Amino acid sequence: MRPGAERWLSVVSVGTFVVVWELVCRAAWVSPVLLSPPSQVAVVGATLVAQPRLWSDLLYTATAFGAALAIAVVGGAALGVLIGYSRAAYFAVNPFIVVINALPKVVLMPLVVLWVGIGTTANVLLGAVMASFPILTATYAGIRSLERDYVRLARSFGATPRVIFRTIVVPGVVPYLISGLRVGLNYAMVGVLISEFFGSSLGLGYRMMLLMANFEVASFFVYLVVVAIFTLGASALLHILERRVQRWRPDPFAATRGM
Amino acid sequence: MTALRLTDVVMDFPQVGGERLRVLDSVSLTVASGEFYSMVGPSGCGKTTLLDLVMGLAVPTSGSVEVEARRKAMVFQRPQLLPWRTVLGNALYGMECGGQLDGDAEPRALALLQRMGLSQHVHEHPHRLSEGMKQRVNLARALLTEPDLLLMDEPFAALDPATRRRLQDDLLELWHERGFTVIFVSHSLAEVAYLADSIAVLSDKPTRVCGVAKVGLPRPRAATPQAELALLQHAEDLTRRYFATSV
Repeated sequence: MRPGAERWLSVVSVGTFVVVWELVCRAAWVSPVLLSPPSQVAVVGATLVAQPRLWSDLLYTATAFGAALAIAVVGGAALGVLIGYSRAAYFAVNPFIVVINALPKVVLMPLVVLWVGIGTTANVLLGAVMASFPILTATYAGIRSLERDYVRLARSFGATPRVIFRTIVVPGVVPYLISGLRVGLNYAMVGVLISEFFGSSLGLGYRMMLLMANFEVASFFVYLVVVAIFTLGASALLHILERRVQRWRPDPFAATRGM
Repeated sequence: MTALRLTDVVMDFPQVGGERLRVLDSVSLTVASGEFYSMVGPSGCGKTTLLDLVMGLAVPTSGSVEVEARRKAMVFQRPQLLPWRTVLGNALYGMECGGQLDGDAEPRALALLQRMGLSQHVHEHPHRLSEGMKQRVNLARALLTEPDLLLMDEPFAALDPATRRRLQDDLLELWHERGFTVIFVSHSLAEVAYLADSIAVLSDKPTRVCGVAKVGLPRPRAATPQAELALLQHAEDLTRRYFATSV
């Protein structure tokens, strides 16, 4: 195959998938109650996009997602730095981290509802709890893997702990933090949506549950696509940030190129 | 004037199981101000520990370390440039750590980098540099802090012979010009015979000073083939005198 021709395979495979999906629905192999054809999803999508409801749902969920992620980054990074710096803090806090991390965080949902009730606070809280663990563990790993020689170098020039933190710890940890953020991003979305499933009066998750209850399958698919686009968009923004922060890195794919 | 005086310095490191490992055993030496002083010895003999003591990064078990220097700087064996900083950013790093950054810092850094042949690379990141260039940045970073005592831990050991000689000459030139004191650790007598005024020969662990040799050769020491030959002869004599008997 010509070099670069592989890229077209993505287009071909997605196109085939959509066509087969359409044909399966047209041939009535599947009940329209269970699956809507892509053509109908597109038509319904066009009407939904023209209405304000979809946008207010999206705005509501996006706000909760942003708040959850912000809390997770601040909390997760701060705790990660703390247990990375202090062995005492590590041993004091680690048992809790291990146990909570082992839990599928979704099981905390009833507790969250009990404590703060259903609504925006619960949505943000579950998203934040879910997202903070990957960020915390990545930050901790980043601190542990700092080059000790860099610290020795800085100290030899008389650097204070504050200067060492700013010039060595922060730049060394940020790449780890971003990879934690990559995982945390998805977790935050899962947390917010699940909490909206449980109970909310607005939001993408809430609307999807409602649409399913009314067997509005085509509309449900539209919301599914919206969630996917939103998450991809957030991921792409993060990628841009990553590129900006890590401009100094040698080409990460240099070793495998041409394999 | 004396830049550094070590008197009966003993350094023990605690081992697992409560034992103590003696690394330095009553080391005494004196370095005159402005002197190019070198220490040679087998690898792993505690030279790095000695430098840590002088830098104040470690405290001796007993004995005294007196340093008469307003400002000290260290050049490590590995260049240890921060990968996320450019050449210029790395050159400025020593000054930044010591709180010496002022409006004058950047022009001074650029001037020194240019002098060391790095003006084409000031905005590049370290991974694009050769080992010799990295070591030059390492040296520039230390010199920009304007030390009166410069400690160097086998700085040129990883370089090819031609690059090593060029860097040695750069160093000698700057030393002549600025008059700082150098303490240069190496495991090559040929290298220190070219560079140093005095050579302290150290023993294997626990480290003692076997003897201090004065290098009586005129500078520059490899300007003519005869001088080069005298240099090799001198290194050979030193090797015979110290390493044949002390091992």
